[in-house]
Amino acid sequence: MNPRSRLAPLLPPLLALATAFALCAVAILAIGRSPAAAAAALAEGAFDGPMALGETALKATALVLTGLAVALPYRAGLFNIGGQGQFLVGAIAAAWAGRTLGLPAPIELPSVLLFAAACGAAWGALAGVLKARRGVHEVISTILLNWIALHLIDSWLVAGPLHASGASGFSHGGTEAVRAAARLPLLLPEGRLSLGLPLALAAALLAWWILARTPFGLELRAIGASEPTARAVGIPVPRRLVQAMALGGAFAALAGAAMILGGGTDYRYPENYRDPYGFDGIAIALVGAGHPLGVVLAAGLFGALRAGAIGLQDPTVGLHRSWPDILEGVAVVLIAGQRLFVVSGPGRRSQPPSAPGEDLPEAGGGR
Amino acid sequence: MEPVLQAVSLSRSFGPVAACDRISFSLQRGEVLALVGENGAGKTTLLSLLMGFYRPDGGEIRVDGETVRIRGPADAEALGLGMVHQHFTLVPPLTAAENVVLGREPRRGPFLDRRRAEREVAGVARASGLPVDPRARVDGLSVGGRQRVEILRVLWRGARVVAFDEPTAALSPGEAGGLLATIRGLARDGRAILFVSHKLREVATVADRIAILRAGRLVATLPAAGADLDRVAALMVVKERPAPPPAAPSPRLRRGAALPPSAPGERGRPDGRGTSRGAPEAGGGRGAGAASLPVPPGGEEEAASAPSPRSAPPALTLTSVSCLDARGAPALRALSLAVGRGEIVGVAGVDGNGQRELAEVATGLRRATGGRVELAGHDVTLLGPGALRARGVAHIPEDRERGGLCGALSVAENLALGRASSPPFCRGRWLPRLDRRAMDAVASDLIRRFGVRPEDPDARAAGLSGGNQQKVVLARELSGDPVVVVAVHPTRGLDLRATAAVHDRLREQAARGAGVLIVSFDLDELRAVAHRLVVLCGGRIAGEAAPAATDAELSRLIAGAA
Repeated sequence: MNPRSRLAPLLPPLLALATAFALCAVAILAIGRSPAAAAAALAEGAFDGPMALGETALKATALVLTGLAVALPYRAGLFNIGGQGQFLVGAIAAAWAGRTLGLPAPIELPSVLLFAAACGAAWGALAGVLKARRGVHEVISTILLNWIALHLIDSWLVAGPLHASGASGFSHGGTEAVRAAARLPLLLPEGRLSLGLPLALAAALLAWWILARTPFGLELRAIGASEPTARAVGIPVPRRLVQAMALGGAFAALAGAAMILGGGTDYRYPENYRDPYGFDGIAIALVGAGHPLGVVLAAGLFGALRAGAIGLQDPTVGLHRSWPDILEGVAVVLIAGQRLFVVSGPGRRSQPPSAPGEDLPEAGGGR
Repeated sequence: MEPVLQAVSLSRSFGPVAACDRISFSLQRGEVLALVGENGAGKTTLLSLLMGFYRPDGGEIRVDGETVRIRGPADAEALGLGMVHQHFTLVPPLTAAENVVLGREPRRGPFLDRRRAEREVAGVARASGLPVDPRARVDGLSVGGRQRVEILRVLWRGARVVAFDEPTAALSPGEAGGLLATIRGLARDGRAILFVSHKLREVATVADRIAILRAGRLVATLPAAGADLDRVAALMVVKERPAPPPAAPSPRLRRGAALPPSAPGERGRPDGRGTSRGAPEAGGGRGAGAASLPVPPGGEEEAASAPSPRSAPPALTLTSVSCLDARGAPALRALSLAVGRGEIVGVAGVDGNGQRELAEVATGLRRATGGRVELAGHDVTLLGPGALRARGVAHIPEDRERGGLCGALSVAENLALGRASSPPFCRGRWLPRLDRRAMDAVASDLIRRFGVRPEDPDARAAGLSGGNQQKVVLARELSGDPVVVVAVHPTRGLDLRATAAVHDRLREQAARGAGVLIVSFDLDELRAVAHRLVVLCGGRIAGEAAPAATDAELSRLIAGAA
């Protein structure tokens, strides 16, 4: 088969990224700063030394997992905007279980991770059930569930039942820190590079394997490609939709757990946790073209850019640390624009119009 | 007289494929020019070039003798070129008048001047003899009604050249007849018509001249009066392409003639036509009641291989089955029908009389609200599509892209759909995983047996031509030795060769002992394959006929029923 066709989906995100970098460089030049110095500062902040590597790894870990949380349901035709809520559910679940379970050390960490994933899966499945049973669009329900999760956790759990009791004599507003056995082991003596990153990469591999190599994954992709066909060939579509959302929720929740257990928040759920990794997952999935490998690459890139942003504030560079966010935003807008322009439906791009039958562009692409 | 539209050496390639190769023709006022050709011959591309959807690589287009450049649909419209699409391009919740004026709305201030729009549309409707209520919402209109709105839209915009792309594909015979009369009327009024169709008989009745396209080239233009349709069909077919099954020149020619076996290595099957003709039970004398189960054509010597047809229960039995349509209105009303083993039952009737729901109930996609569905004597009324499929119900759906195939998946994946969790596609009980090699092997085998092009299991289904997509659907649905085959418009949009191949496959299944239920608006098709015809009306069986019944008899039945 034609290798070009396999690599073709990578082209739009790569072009968009290149354009975004170029546009940002132009903008930096326009305000009288040096793009080269900015790039050097970013690279230094992201990779120079174990502290920098640890930050990059921590952010990439969360982004890989929240990216998968969007990418996997997307292959079944579902747009999971609920990554943020699922992320927070996973974080609070990990904070509670890591404090409370108290299992023997070797099974403590896996149990806490599994518990967090299960909570996120249940939270994600809510939107799936609403969709399968009542036809509620998952975009609407997941957006609303984000707020429900946020306020349940912030305004009730963290403020009330799970609030650090002050046994340590000092109230810091969040939950108690998790037990040492529940923490993700650090891989370097210095910095925050933990087992979280290998676990996130394993999760990406798992997601790829599920999609490409299991009957379940084939059924998800069939639903995403043509739901009527999936129904007609006997795939239990409602059940698969719930399962896809549950899987997405589990991945997002693992991201939350990885932040709590990986030291991103001092091993506790803070008083007001506002890291928007769940929302970032949408961008990562988009830049990663919905493919697990693409998600890993995009998450690595943006994790590094964010970790490196700290270096931008250096007076010799003189840029605000929000530049990587701007770059990410520009890339996403470009990709979204490209999709609107080129793609009329999944898998129907750039076919020679005589081939798919008698469809005219206007008649065929009604989406 | 100056031709109103002229194409001079018009060419367009997609990659290495020349979809249109130096095509020249001219079209006079008041003339109907039919474009015929196989799938992929370039008909639709040619129309797209004329309508500004694509730009030509070479050649030119002349309107009223002047060379024009058509950069987009708006240019085509301004030049008086209009097209009635095969797949309607209407906005369902809007009214007929709103759809007609959409994009060029008459305004009063910033608002749509609805009254003027309705007046103008009603005027055009009257002048062209198209009965359309400008205030009717399009989603409440029949297929024929929607098409009339499409035609009105083109006429209201002042088209002098109107192109029709497969306009009768979705219409019932009665509606199709009306449309052909409309087209003649438009030509009488001085408009020029381009008419694309697969149905040669239709072409012969409506066209003045027939242009035959083959592999992107215009191979002949003949006067329609007295044209030898078999010759036209022969001209359409690319001869050197070796594709099993071998071409059957035309459905009409094929009638009564024994067909060669369709693929090497497969056993021959009896001639479906002969069976249906000779079968004594095919007569229309029998009532359509629940009790009158058909006698399968077991007396035929060819059907001897079918499993003891007389004693066994029919393949499919529906006993006073009722169901609702998608909007909750009654669609089937206590319908009773049986399909014997080895029998092909054709369902005729005007669209919207329960054909779709009948197929959906039979395949488990729609739940019956009353009555009983039996598969080989077992009650399956409550089973869903997956369970029915597992018990041997094959479904060739109405719309390949919405029910037959997943365009974004590969051919191999499409062939595994619906059975991917069982061997040989899947291994491992604990951790079920796809066996890619087995999937490819099965796909390669089916691709060969069913003659799918390209012979590539990894090819995306969306990239295949319509005929090859349908072959993939057939390969998946028929390779599991089904008990019942439900086929809905199985040859819609296919060319003669692909149509013949589909019909052969259905006959093969019947010969093997499967019961086949085929829904079609094309009476020629039903006659060609069915042993027995039933006419559906208002969700009931309104009558039954032998395939040998004449057009007039059938039309009477359908019209009387409707």
